[in-house]
Amino acid sequence: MVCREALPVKSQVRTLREQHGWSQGELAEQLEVSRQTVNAIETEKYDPSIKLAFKMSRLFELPIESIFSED
Amino acid sequence: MNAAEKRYTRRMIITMSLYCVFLFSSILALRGFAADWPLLAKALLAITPVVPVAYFGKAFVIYLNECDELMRRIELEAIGLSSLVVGLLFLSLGFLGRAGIIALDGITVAVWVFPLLCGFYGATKWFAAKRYQ
Repeated sequence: MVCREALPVKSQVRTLREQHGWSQGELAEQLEVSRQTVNAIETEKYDPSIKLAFKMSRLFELPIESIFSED
Repeated sequence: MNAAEKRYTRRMIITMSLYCVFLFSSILALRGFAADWPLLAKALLAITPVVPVAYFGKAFVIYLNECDELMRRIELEAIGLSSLVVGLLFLSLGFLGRAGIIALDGITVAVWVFPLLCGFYGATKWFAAKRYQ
């Protein structure tokens, strides 16, 4: 069995959030997640699920690949 | 603390308080007025503290379903790590007992598995959460 480690994902979430003038808590509320989750995504310690990535895509009105990219 | 955590904390306090009440009541009853009860009745009385613990388990499962994806991952990592630590601990104790180095009472071991899982879960949750900070 071949087990490959996932590629690191680069996140633009912090930049986009700051552009919208939202705090981490405000973004978390709109995404219905905790502030810790938003912080972990921004600091690239956690890669969101595809469902959450789509939610962000709708919220920022950007395609997913503009928010997340392979490092 | 979000709404899901508040609900979970409230349910945990209630079920664990009931556990303490049921535990001490059943111990006292088995040593007192229930000492001469039939075996089946004594057995049912002896396992009554398990009921609130089962409700605590249900509350935890509800909490897991209510929390967001990162929190759920942290919780599940903590449970996994805690199970590993407790499993290794009791496996080591078993081998030490088998080698005649320590004397083990099976009943004591059985009673301590769940409390140790809960205790180590507290520590492993801190460790798991730290990875995402």
